[in-house]
Amino acid sequence: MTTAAQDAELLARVLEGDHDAFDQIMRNHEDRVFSVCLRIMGNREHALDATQETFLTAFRKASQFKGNAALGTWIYRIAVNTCYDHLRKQKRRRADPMPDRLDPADHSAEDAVESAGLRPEIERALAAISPEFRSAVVLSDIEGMSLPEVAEVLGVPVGTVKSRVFRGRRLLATELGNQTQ
Amino acid sequence: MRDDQIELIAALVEGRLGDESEARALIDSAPEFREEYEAQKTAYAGLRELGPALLTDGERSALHRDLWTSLRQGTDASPGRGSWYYRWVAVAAGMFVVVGLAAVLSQVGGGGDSGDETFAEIGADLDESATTTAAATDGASAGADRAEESADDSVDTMSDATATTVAEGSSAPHDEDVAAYYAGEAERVRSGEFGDRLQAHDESDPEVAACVAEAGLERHRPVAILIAPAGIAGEDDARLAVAVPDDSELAAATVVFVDTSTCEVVHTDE
Repeated sequence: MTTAAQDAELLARVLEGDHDAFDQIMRNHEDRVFSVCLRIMGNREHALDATQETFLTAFRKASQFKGNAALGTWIYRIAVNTCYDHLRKQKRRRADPMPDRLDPADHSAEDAVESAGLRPEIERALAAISPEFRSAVVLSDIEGMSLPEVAEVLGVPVGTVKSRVFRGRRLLATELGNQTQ
Repeated sequence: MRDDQIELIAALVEGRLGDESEARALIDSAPEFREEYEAQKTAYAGLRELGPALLTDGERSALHRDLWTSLRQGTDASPGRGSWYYRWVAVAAGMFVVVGLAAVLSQVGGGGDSGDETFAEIGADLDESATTTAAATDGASAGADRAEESADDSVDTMSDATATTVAEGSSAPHDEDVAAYYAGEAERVRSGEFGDRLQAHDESDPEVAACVAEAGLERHRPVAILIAPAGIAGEDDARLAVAVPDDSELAAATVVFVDTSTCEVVHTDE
């Protein structure tokens, strides 16, 4: 069975009240949702909050999923918008300093983080560029999504995604250069 | 630099080219191309090295535990179906209860002056009920959501639940009322009911546009101003600017609601 067919079956079961099916959908997508949120928000705790809110929204709006895109794409779109919302609220509250490293609170799992090859200077540079460029490079270059996939997640044309990815990289390189000077 | 030149450089950086000679020649042809290539390469390599992040076991457990706790703390833990059928059933059941109550009271109250008073009171109740049920329809109150849940069981149960929740609709809204309010308004926006953008002749247009921009929505256009009832975006009625991204079609747009008193985003609807 294809992933899309599996997702459709799981979603049908969710609408019938099967909580295990939603748990399975979460397990299929939670790592990527969390990863996207962490890279956009730059803080594990905030990313975890946004991940939870993303799945709450997905659960509550399950009936509104029309199947025009993959379920994952729909969920990542909710995730990106949830992260944007959180960032706007944070921006108005205070400027959160970037931590030196995005370490997990659970230190026993540091190996998992180390394997992801965290680079504080890149994280700081990423945090310095605007969210619209950040989300484009995160989805494209970190998560490895194709440009049409990124376009669907962000709800913009492919041409806009290209422009954001290329400009985002250029801004990132500038930030990295500024850090080393 | 032309778009196709940037794309060629990006393709080289991403390793997507079978034959790299054209791209390499371009890079060697001018310093600006070399500079672009170095910038793209540095950023792309850094991002690839960063790689996707992983949830730890502790975070994963907390995520699942907290999510289901949040859902159970709500009025129910069933996904919203959003069907108008259920909403109309909720409204109809609410009206049925009110009319039934009116009939009973008219029997108890008898004729004469006291009967007139009773009917006057019932009339007031009906007006209030109509307001409440209308709110249930427009805002898609908890009555609708609970009626959805009840409909899975039986018609009788649904009527009881609806009667209760329609009454509840007149008090502070639940989270689900709030969510349903925004979902309903977002659908009205997408249907084009408010038009494609805020009317230029609206005197508040510049002020609203500035507020939307201040909320971090620089590339959005305001399409409407709404007065959200108390409890939706604060304790009192709130004036909300509704905005959509400039580069999105209205029918598929993400709809953002901005409180014009604070210029903060209060809700985003996919």
